[in-house]
Amino acid sequence: MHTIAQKIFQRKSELIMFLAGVFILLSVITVAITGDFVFWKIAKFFYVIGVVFIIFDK
Amino acid sequence: MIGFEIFGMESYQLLSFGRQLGLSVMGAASLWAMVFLYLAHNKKVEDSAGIFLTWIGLRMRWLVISGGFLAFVMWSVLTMILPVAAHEGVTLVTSKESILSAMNFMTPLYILIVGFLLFGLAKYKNPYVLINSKKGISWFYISTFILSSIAISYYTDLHGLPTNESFFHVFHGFHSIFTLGTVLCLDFMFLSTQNAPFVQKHLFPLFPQISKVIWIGLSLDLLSTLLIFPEAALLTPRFYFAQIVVGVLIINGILLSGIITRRILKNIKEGHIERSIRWERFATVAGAISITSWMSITFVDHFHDLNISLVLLFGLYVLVIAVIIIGHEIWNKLDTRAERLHVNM
Repeated sequence: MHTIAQKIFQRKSELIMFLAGVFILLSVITVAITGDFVFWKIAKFFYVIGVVFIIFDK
Repeated sequence: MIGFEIFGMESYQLLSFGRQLGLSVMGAASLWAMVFLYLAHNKKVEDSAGIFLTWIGLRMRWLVISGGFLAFVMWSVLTMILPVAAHEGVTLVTSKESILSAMNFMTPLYILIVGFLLFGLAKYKNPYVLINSKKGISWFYISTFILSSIAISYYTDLHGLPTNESFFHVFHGFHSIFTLGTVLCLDFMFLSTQNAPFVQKHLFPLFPQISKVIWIGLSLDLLSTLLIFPEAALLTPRFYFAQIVVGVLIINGILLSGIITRRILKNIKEGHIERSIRWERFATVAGAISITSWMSITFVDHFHDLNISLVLLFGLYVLVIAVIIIGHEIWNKLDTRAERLHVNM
């Protein structure tokens, strides 16, 4: 599993952004069921960190 | 006044979407053509990359001209009818009056835009006039970029609005150049060079840098929504659709700009044509998802009273992706211009 992830995401920024996307999809489910935006906020946090990493990627 | 309403969508909102789409393509094409021509200018004379970058940079003027004319036509009709906008399903609804006021205020700018476009069109046989510069800086593309940036950012009257709302509207309008427009330009470049691996070899290494700008553009949208969240979040099918599509967009974007681009480049470099074609098929699907997603979220955000179910929205979304993939394959078979360039080299 670890090796597959490493093959797909060669950079930390890619993995972080992928997680941001997953959390946005999760947030849709939680917002629909509970009305809570907690996963949405986590997703945005990952996104911001991911963009910072992407900007400094070589 | 001629107008219609279907599924909660009004004609002025459709025109507003067309205006934003046109300006985003015009702005992004100007930006990237400017970058390519500058890079080409700084290549050594014997480096063939300079020729290919100039070729694609000049070819992008057709995107500038077509996007600009689309925006101008939509603006012309809008000043007689009217618009609105927002992304991620988190929306500030703007009034018809404030948008009409902004459109009228921007009249000299749109006239200037159409003047530049007509000049670009008139020089279609001698496009080098547009990039005539000793430093590799194209006056034409700089002008069209600045004009489209202002026009797309000022789509509603900002006078008297709280600071956070003003920033929301400016970021919200401008980011389309970095996102929607740049994605469409990327696909244009991908389409233009799909039969020309010798051009791809010089162009594809720039794609990761171009995608950085798309991610920054999406950040501008994120910042703008945080400025007005949570009071602007309405839990409608439109909101859920936009959120799901943004999630898909991020996952798809990271795969496209990451592993897919890496594999294509590796295969081109090593001369594995068949493997390269297989990965290009993945790129075609990912590109179709990317374009459809950006178009969809821009589209639904223009229709705040949209009353289409989530299932139907996704049905249309998948249908458009399928049509783009098929259209892409047909284009790929018909377009031989890149091959001719190879023959002429």
